[in-house]
Amino acid sequence: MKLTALLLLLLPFFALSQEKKTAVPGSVTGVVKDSANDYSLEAVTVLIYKKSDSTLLNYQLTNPSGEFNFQQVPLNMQLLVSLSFSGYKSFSKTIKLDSVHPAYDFSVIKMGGNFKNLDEVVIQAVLPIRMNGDTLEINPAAFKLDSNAVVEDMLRKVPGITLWGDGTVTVNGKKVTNVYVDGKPFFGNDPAIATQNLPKNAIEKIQVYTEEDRTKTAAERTPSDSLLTMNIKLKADKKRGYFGKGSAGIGTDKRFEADLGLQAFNKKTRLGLGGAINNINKNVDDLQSLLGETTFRSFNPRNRYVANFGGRGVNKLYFVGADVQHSFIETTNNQRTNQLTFNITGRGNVNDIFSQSDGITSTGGNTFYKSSQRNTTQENDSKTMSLNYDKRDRDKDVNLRAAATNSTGTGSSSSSTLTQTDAKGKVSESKESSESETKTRNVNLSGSFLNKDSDERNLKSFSLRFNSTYGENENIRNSLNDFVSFENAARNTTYNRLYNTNSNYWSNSVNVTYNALKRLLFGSNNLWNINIRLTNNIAFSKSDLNYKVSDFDSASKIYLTNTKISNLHNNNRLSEEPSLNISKTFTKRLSNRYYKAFTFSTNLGGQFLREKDESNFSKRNLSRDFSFFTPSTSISYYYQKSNGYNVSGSINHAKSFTIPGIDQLFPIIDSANLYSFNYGNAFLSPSKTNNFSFSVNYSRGNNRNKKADINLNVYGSYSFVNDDIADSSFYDDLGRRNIYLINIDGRKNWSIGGNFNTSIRIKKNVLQFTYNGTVYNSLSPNYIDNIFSTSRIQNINNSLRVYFALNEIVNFSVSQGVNMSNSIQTGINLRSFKNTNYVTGANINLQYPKDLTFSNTLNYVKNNTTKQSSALWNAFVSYRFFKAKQLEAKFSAMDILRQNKNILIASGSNTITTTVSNGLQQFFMLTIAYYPRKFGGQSKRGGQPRVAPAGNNNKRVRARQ
Amino acid sequence: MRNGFLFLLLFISKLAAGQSAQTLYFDPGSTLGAPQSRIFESITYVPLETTKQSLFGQVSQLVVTPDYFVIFDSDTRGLYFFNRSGKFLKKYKDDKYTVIDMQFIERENAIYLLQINKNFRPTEQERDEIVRNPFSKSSLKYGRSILYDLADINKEQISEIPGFNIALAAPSYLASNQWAYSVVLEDKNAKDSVDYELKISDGSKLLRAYFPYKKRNSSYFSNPADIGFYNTGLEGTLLFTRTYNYSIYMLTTDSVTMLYNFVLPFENSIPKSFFTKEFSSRNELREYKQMNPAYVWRIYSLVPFNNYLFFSLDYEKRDRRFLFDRNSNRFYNINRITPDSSNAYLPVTGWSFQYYDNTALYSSISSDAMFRSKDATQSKNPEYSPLLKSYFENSKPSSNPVIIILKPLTKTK
Repeated sequence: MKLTALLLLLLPFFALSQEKKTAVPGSVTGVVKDSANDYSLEAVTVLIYKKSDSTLLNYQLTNPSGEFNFQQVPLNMQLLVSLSFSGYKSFSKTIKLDSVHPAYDFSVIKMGGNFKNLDEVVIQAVLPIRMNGDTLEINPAAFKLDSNAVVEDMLRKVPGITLWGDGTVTVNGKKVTNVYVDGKPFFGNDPAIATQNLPKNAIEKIQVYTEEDRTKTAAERTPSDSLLTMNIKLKADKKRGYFGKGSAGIGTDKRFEADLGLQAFNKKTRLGLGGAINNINKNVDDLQSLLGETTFRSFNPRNRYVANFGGRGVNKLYFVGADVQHSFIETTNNQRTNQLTFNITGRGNVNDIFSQSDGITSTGGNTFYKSSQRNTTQENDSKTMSLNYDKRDRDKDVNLRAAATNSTGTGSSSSSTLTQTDAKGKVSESKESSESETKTRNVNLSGSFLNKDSDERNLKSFSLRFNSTYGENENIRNSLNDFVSFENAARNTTYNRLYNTNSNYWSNSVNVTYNALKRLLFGSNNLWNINIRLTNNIAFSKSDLNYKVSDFDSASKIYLTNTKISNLHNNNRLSEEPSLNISKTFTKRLSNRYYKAFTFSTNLGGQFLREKDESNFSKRNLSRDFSFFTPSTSISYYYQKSNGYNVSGSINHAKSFTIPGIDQLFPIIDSANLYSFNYGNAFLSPSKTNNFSFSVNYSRGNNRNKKADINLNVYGSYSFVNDDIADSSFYDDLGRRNIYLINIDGRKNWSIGGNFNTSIRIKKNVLQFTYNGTVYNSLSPNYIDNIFSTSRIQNINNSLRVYFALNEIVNFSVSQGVNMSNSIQTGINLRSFKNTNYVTGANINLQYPKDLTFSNTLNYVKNNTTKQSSALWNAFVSYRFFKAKQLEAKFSAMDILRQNKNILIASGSNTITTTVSNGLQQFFMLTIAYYPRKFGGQSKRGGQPRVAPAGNNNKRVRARQ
Repeated sequence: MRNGFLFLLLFISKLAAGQSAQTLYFDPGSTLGAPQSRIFESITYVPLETTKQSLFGQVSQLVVTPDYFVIFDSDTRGLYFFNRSGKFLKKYKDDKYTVIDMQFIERENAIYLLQINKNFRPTEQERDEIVRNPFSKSSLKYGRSILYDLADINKEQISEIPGFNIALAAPSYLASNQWAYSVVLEDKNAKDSVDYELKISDGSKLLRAYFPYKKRNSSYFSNPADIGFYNTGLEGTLLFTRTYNYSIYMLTTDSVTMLYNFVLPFENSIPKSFFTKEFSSRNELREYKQMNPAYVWRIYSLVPFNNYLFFSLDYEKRDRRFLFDRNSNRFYNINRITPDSSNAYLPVTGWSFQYYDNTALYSSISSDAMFRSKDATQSKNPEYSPLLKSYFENSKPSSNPVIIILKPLTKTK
């Protein structure tokens, strides 16, 4: 079965690769010179058209020696070779290559004067690509694509621009970080919304240039942080329009889906609307991601927004969202903004889960086998509203944000659990059921003000950030449970308990950084290039909790307050964290060879903390003061070899403290929690963590001698904790856990990870390899039944993915992952666990002919511990109708093999649990989508004159003031 | 001295004949190109020796004396002396200072260096303050000007010029005890309402001044708009150009004469409205400049040589460097002066002419660019001089830069 599936997946590829071999290409070469003065002309645009229908086949700019050289030119076809250059008369000639004469050499073409002997054809010369100062300009008019082509389709045709499998765009090997439309982000940061929606015909030109990273403060910015920006300039008459997608689908097994994404824009205002409803576990994170998934692109190589078979249970959800952005200034310059954004979102879901869990717990005396079934239904609904104002000028940056959220939730669950031991068989059994209702409301106000942030020499250089949140929670929960001991009937318990929680909190923080401290203290003295900054963080929070618990009295048939658990609690916390930052950078540059920088930075910081707890239980009335020294240091290195590669690395250290909470010191024990009781410890001290980390990156892109781009990252961390708050647990003979907390030294964590990516371009095809690997280790000393034990948890994850894209017609990827998790107990009599998962994935997308897309995904998971396996095969076929391609039909066949299972394996220090839960099962679905689109149109002023093709005449472009 | 003299002679004779400045209609968009051998008699490449001592980054400032190539490299902040065949002789480095200007003063047989104290990093406002009051005592700590005696370069004989306190105005040597300098910057709080764009000083006091402007409210001068001075090879004569002005002037010890007046196409000319616009801040002025990339803000990088005048336009276009041939009244675009077999298809210039004297123009290029160019032109079978042959065999793309010596023809072909 597996083999058949794999063959099916690969079939289109074989078919296609054979088809490819038939073409034997020709070449066209030449040198262009000025006819009068006989010097070579650089940057002359040379175009090759298919004569029959004027399709642009290829183009080049001549090199500094005036040469051009086309390879892979099709044979047996009338070709029009056309040359154009600013200030010169165009030149063109019709040629035809065949297998006898596959190479045509123009030798020297002299432009400007005499071309009587050549058959002259007048065509409007349009330059596809040119350098304007430091900006690369791409002219869409020069690319012949079908009328429905979007920007992305055109970018695929531009030499030097690569669109990667993961959606990344690179220009000459360098990643494009920002995609703007008319100098501003277009509906957020997802470039797909612009590149996959805007039609090529609405674009005047595309500019690519380098910018400074403004998200980082001047102090954080390093030479590796310059950003490549792509700016899409709309035609003057296309600066207003709307586009989007509406779709609905219905399937077997009562499955349905519906999505809507609609955007409208004009010069200053942008509006986005989105909605989704489905019962196929297809989740929407936010409006922006929904808009990113409802673009006009006809090709869906990522298969991201589809039914999720990995999710637990079956989820029915709805989402609605709207976003309005208004800019008060008309600028195409991203260094200045002045805009207001309003966002409103509503979402809700109903989640049903049936699950079966099997757990093994190893203790000093016994090994407990716990098996349970659980049914859960959870219903949530939330609404959020936010208002955001941004104003940025060259040296001032203001941001204000206000947001409010209101959410409600109801849930019910029922479960039964059976506990057994090797020696005695069944020891206990329990049944629980509960119903709950939650209401949450909060409002948040935050903002920042940066003044001359990038100039630490200016005495007014500072930044200020604040955040204030007020929230209220209400929760009512009714819990019924029965516990039966097969050992001793006296230990049976029955509860019918009602919990009523009301709480509110208010938290505030202000962060101020003063950048010019050196300047203030030492004037214009450079102080050996040492920088000194002062930062202060002050935070205040307050919370009030009313926790009311009552038990059902079977005699009086009413709920009576349980005074042992019910309580009132107030908490006040004031934290003050001043810090002095001292840093120095050593740099060395040798032009055209290398640049290196070494930075040392240390924060001498401390924390003063006052924590006050008030409760109606006298022992929970506490007032505590702490002061901690919390220094942190980082050392970083950057090396750039010109035209070669970059290496960067850093080592960091930070020290931090965690104070024990009131529920760790003086917990309130609720005996209705059947299997775990926490007794805390009144004498706990704060725990102290020292963390060390490192990272190294190597990257190579756009190296003129190498075909492959490489990116390698290695990172790791090590931390040790003194006075860690750890468990000392005792298991009773029924498998119930009593926890006492202790301070203990010796907790350690370390991890190391890395990833390696390489992309190799082979003509128009792309081959990519991606490897990811992590190893995580932790040692946690603790006591189980008075036996000292160190739990050692080890997780190892490895995955390798190979991606291959053949032209634009087919792409496929295969991946293999191995995930291991081991849990080892050093204490005698305690058991260790091992668990290994093998995950295999394959993906193939085929688009041929143009309007038909066929894709397959296969996932196979095998677990070595449980010997369980799960296979998931999904297939999709979609077709675009009509000339404008505005209608799409899509057929999805999900879980074709009917073998999908949801298995979750979780391991703790002395417990391993395998949970199998319900999920989506096989279904087939038909989805119809419509794409409403309009760009430009009748302007109220009677329409603007059509802009003539810019051509090689840049004089017309600039308007005069 | 011959060529400079010729150049001057032409103008002096012209002026004597009662002609006014020549008006040149110049469209940067329609300029000529040529293979380099039609313009240059010879182009010679002198690789600079690479040793552990002499390894440097780039030629930031260049002075060519009869005996030496003197190079200041801003990467290593060192002054490097090579002999005329490229052999390394001496490195001079003062850890406290970096060099921002370097001039050869022939009659003193010395190099004039304007040095900036590295221990201070003034803010933009402070820099404006220093520039406005270059003579103030407090500004002296930021820099100094010295003469490096060339009689014996190994002696490192350095002398501060006595009573010379206009150093920070970056003066240009005109004649003995006469220095020309220019500080053009709006000062809203200035005491005097009128200031002069061009000033002549003996180092401590003002001798003469030309071109008055309103100091308190000329917002287009809110960014420094200083005059640029260029040697003619004649003691007592400099050429100069002004910001927002398309004329080329000659300064002598007692006169200012306009030699040329360029007229640029409409789309490249600063509109009249610019001079009446009120820019609220320096940023607004900079933004205006950014928004109008085709406007030419000034003419700079003049190299008068024989009947040629090399010059650059300050605007945001790719082709900025041009050549005016007085003989034929033709304009060439330097980017379109292409390599040919007589210079083995190697680059004609680095990114600018960095020095010139009576005999040649000097430029420099990185070894990386030399090797790249060599790799790209192998198909043309270039013939390298023995010096270049040995350079390509024994050096690497990471070796020291190469000096390019260009000797123009007396008359273009």
